[in-house]
Amino acid sequence: MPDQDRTLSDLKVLEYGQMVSAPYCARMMAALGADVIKVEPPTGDKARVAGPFPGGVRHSEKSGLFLCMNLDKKGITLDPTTPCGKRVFRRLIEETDILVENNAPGHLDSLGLGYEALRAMNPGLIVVSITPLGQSGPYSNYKVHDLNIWHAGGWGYLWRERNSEGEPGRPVRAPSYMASFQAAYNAITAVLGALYFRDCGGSGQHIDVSEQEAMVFVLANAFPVYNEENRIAGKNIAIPASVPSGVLPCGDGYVLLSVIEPHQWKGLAELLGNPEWSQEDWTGSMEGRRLNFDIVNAFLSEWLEGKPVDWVVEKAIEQRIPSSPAGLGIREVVGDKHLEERGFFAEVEHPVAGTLRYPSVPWQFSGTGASILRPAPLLGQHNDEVYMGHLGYTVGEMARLRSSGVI
Amino acid sequence: MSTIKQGALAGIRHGALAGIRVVDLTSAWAGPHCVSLLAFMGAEVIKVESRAKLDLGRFYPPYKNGVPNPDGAVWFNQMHRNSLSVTLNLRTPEGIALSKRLVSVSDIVVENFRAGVADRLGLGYRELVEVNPQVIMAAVSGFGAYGPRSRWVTYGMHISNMSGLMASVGFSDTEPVSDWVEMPDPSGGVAGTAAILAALHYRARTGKGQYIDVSELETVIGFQPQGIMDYVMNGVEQGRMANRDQVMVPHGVYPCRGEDEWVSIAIADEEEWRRFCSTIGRPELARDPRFSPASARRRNEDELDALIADWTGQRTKFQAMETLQASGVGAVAAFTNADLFHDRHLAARGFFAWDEHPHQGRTRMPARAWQMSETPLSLNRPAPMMGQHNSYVLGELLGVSEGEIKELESREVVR
Repeated sequence: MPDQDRTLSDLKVLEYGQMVSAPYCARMMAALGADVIKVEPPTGDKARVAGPFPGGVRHSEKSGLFLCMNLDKKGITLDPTTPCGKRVFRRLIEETDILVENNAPGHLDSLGLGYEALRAMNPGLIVVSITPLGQSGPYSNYKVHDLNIWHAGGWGYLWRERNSEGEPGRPVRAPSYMASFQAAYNAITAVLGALYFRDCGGSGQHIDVSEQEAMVFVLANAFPVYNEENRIAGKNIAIPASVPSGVLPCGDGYVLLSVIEPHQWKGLAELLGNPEWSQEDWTGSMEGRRLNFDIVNAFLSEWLEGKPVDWVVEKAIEQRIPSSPAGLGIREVVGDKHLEERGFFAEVEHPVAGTLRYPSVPWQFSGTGASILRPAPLLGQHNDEVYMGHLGYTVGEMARLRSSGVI
Repeated sequence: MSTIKQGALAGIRHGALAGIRVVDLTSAWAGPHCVSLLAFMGAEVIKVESRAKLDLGRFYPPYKNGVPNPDGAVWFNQMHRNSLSVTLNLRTPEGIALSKRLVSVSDIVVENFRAGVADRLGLGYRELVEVNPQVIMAAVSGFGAYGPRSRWVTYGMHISNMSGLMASVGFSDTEPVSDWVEMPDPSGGVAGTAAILAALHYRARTGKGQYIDVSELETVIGFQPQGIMDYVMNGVEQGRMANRDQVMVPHGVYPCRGEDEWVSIAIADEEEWRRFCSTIGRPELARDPRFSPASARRRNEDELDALIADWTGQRTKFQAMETLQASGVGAVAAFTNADLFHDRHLAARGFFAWDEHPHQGRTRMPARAWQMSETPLSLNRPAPMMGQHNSYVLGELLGVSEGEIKELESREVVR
């Protein structure tokens, strides 16, 4: 599909960020067709050393995290902490619609490149700043790693391990950079909202995205249960909000079931052969089933005993009960027929890392393309194209920028 | 700028998306989350719903005063602030026809039916583009609009599971851990919002609308780059590590004073490790061959964790957090809903706001997911009661007379 037919192909995006939050936000814009220039320090994005690496051997052009977060972008090197680097950064900003950054609060200000300074040069500029705890507030300068933000976001209490008695153990996190991904999605959404405002004649603006707030905002009914029932969500959650639901043992593994809507309960009762207990009045309402949680679970566990997981899932789905074999691994995901039919994993050739399969973006547009077209950039790969081609620097100026360590 | 007719209730015109009208055909969580973000940015979101098939959010606990009531479902009311409600029974041909008329005067339609259901109802993209050639339609679903599993009914927890994420949570010797956050729903929801806004920009530029197929499953798989790339590159499935990390050590949650109270501590390098040791009054640990360098700490991680727990156990999680943060160590309390509700940082940032709902009274709820300097996110009105805006939507926007509305009610088209 030609470039002009892509959703955001008229946009120029500058990314000055590392690791996951800002890079993933910019990667999604790149997948939508925006011209994204990634600014890396001359030493490279930290994701270049994060791995995983083929055969476990470290190589700055072969880090799985970096390759995945930076598809479809151009890459340049620049050190904006030097006086000359600042001038180059400002030149880049003049040509930019959207700046995506995830530096510590105050970093750009300290370089004289804060929002107010940039806006003075380019009033239509949209800047999105993604940080663990936001641009302001008493914790904004806290030292945090992904684990800390996960637990600062309140998810630990809701997604926690169980001991052998089924009681809550420690609050536990999911691996990867969940808070960064949540924030990346909020950031692209806010940017595109701001873009529409600009399309309608409005100015540019500064957007403050906090990873913690991105997680807290989606804490489901955690605040409602605190407000109404004074309950600490996740502490003593012997009884789930919907009954029956959760992970249940079967003959050859575990099944995950959710029964919320009335027709789902009827369907489950039918599957169980409509035993006498399932026809009692209390079973008809969610509140009734919650009050008799142990009865429901005891009968259900007895019924599941010895039954194969796949059979249970198939029968449940037939009854329109959400169900799946619990604990599917990455192997199943990468080899999944459903995802294959949707073309979700895309093969892309990278000059150093070779041809690999990558997860694509989660949307398909009827009128515009959004597929992966090119691999992550090598360190400084597009320096000549961007500095000489777009900004008009001469060969001599390039040589000076290189020798002084600015790029 | 939208050329759609503005009604009286559209008098509130601020926010980045002021003037945009959204027909919300969604239910449960993913779709409502998607449209709520549009509403926060100033779009006029009209929820099409019916007592003939109640949105499960309307009967999801908790309820005001513990009494089940579609207008008093507290979580629903949190999620649907800013929205309007019209009650149209989509099991009647006239309910469908009125919905289509509403689409004809709107910019965006969002649905999260199972694949195929919108088409069967006569509300598929092909039908809607006939009445509104520029319409942007998004379908947000668990598995996407096509593919062998697209017709499966599902909820967020199952998507966490089928994305491989659930299997990577907890310890290898425990059963799989359910995702009670059900995070794929809001994740797929916000992915939908982003895609819709990209399409809105494209429409502003070209005048063309389009159909967007958004998959929650694909959204969540995208959250696991390292797990996927390790498998793609090396055929390796990374094991469960609970709170631990492949590089950082210590990296975990540690018990604090009180019941079920924890602080998370993560240490990235030797410099942080030295600061940590002196802050807890054990500088000698930094020179102890059992705990330095990181590879030694990794070998003795259980012993190390016990030692840290001795220190954290004598403090509250907030004391531990503040003491360690003062030395620049990555330590943050594990926040519960109550901790967050009363947290001084979130309060200072204005994260919560009071909501005044006719049925529910005054409730403090999260006010926004991000901040915008020129077009602040807004809370214009509390969640709608069922059919609260029937006369605005049917009367003012669609020109149905009061008498006709009464008549439609009697035939359960408006219900």
